[in-house]
Order: sequence, then C-alpha cells, then structure tokens
Amino acid sequence: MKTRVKRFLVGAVVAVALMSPTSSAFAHGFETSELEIIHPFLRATPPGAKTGAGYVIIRNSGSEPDRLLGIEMEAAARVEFHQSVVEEGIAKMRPIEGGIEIPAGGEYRLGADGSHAMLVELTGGIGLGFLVEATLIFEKAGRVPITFEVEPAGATLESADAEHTDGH
Amino acid sequence: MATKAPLTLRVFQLILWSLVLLAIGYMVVPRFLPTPQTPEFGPGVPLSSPFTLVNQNGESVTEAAFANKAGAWFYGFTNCPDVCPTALTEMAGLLQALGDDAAKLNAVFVTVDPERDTVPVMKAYVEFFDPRIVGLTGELPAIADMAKSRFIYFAKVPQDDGGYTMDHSASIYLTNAKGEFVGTLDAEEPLTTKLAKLKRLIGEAA
Ligand SMILES: [Cu+2]
Repeated sequence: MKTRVKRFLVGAVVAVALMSPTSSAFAHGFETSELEIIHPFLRATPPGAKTGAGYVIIRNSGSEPDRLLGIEMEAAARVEFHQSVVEEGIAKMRPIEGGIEIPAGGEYRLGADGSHAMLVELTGGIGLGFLVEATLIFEKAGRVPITFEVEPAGATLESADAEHTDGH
Repeated sequence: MATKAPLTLRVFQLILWSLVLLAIGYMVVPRFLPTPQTPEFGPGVPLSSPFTLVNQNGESVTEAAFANKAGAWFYGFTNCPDVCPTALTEMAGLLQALGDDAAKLNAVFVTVDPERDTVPVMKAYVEFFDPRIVGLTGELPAIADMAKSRFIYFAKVPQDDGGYTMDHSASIYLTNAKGEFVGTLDAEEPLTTKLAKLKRLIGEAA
C-alpha cells in the first residue's frame, strides 16, 4: 500500500510534468485547506441503468480526522456508501454505516476492498466521458463541490491510477 | 343404540386403519425431510440441467441452445454497481481477446433478479458490455430451479432504504462442450490467466 501510494505520487508528478496544462488528466482533483480529493470518478452505466458507482481517494493533511458523511448530486436521488465483499464464493453488498473516516495525516480509498459510493435512482444516463457535478459533505470541512469524471464500466481505483500515472 | 361389532372385527378394523395411516405417513413425511444428500460440487459435475428461460431478444431458450459448446456462465443482477459490471467487463474483454475464437464459447449472463431484470433491461445491459453475451431472464421459479440445479446460490436481501440487493455466487463458471463444470474464473486472477483457461477450454472442445 505505502509503496503503491509512493509510486502513484511519483508517477503523478512525472505525468503532470509531461503533460500540457490543458490535457492534464491528473490535475483532476479538488482541495480544501486540509483535504485533497483525488480523481473522483464514476463508472459508465448501461442505458436505462438505475444504479451507479463512484470512487475517490481522499487525503487528509490535517492533524484531526474528518468524516465523509454523504454525497449529493443531481444525477442520482441518493448516494449511499456500500461495501461489496465475497465470502465463501458469495458476493454480498452491505451498507457502510456512519460515514467514512478520513484519518489525520492519512487517506481513505473509496474503491479499495469493495467499498463504493452507490448512486441510487439515477436521474439520467452516466455516459463515458461525462462530467458529473457533486458535493461531498464532510463533518469538519463542510460542503466541498467536486466533479466526477466518467470512466469505463469496469474501471477500478487501480486501473484509474495506472491510467493516470502512465500519463495516458 | 348401535350394536357393538364383535371384538375380532374391531381389532381387524383397527389394524386396517393403522395401515392406512402408515401408508399416508410414508407418502407425506419424506417431503419434509432434508433431501438425502446434495451431490458434491466439483470438476466433472454436469451443469447442463434443463431450463426454459428468455434471452435478451425476448426469445424462449432452453439448455439445448448451449449444448456442444464450451461456456462461461455468470449469475448476477443489473442493479449491482460493483461486482457484476466488473465480471461482465471481464467477459467482454475476454471475448475481445479471443477474437474469432469467441464464437466457440457461450458467454452467458443469467439474472438472479428477474423481478427487475426484464427483457429490455437485460438487452440494454448485456449489449452495453458485448452483444455476444447472452442475457437470460424468466420467471423467478424457473431461475431458482436452474440456479439450484447448477449449484448457484442467490438470495434477496432487503436494504434500509426500502430497496433490496441480491447476494449471489460471485465467480464465472466454466463448462466444457459436454456441459460439465471445469472450473471458475475468479476476480483476483490476472486477465492472462483467465484467457489461458478459456483458450484451453475451447481448444478441448474443438
Ligand atoms: Cu452498492
């Protein structure tokens, strides 16, 4: 995990250095004084889909933990935090209760270990390449407006990392 | 006042009635006992039990449509945002990688949530990933029978928001041309491993 984060950081710096400012995909991030919201993305959904999934890495440089309480977006009636697990060959999805803690001086990878933001009752399609506005709601940092990029249906934090650190 | 039948006759009647009750018990009780023993699941077990379901074009299909060809079967539901798109993306990627050989493989997605996964929903879903994937839906009992006979587990799980999610067998199940279980494709395996398994499978079938 540590080395991967380091590799990701190094790769990101290289990628940003190599890319022209206008096409810099890695520049896709958002900041508050304490929090860094790195590459939020949604999975593209089939036409008519009712649900979707979102992923993001949130880094906390502050000395206090913060908590992601919810996500609001016009694209979905509700956003819930879930975890998909496979137990003895059975795939299950269960709610993550009480929001998501972003540890002080650490990060939370929404998308690792089956965690995801689940978009419920989509109001429209989430097509590849769309940009979807949303607001992250934190206990301390408050409301943080961000934009989700839309990646292919099978995209994961890892595939997104790889794509972005490879500088496309 | 009824005349009393002789003792021997009454004993005879008692024995007759006992026999009748025994016979009824014999017929009824086994239904409430657990089935004698579920067969072991493993390589070589036939996964070709009969079914009648509906494909994404609304056509009725049976097991016969998949006979004599290797198969990759995944059981899931379209409201699943995480595990199922990952599996179907993989399936699509593998079909792509197989190129022309993809025609030697049945790639099948069976919904375990036929209530929501109607024919048009299935059509939009499978074709979004790869139109070569066959989507199967149908009446819940038909799906449940098929799943059970093929060692697939699924269950409806209510959620706090009033909706529900489905627990379901997570792997992609591989069958050979004889319809026998060969092995699974698991999410953690690298794509090259999965592709090698499929190539071996269709190589054997040819
Ligand atoms: Cu979910």
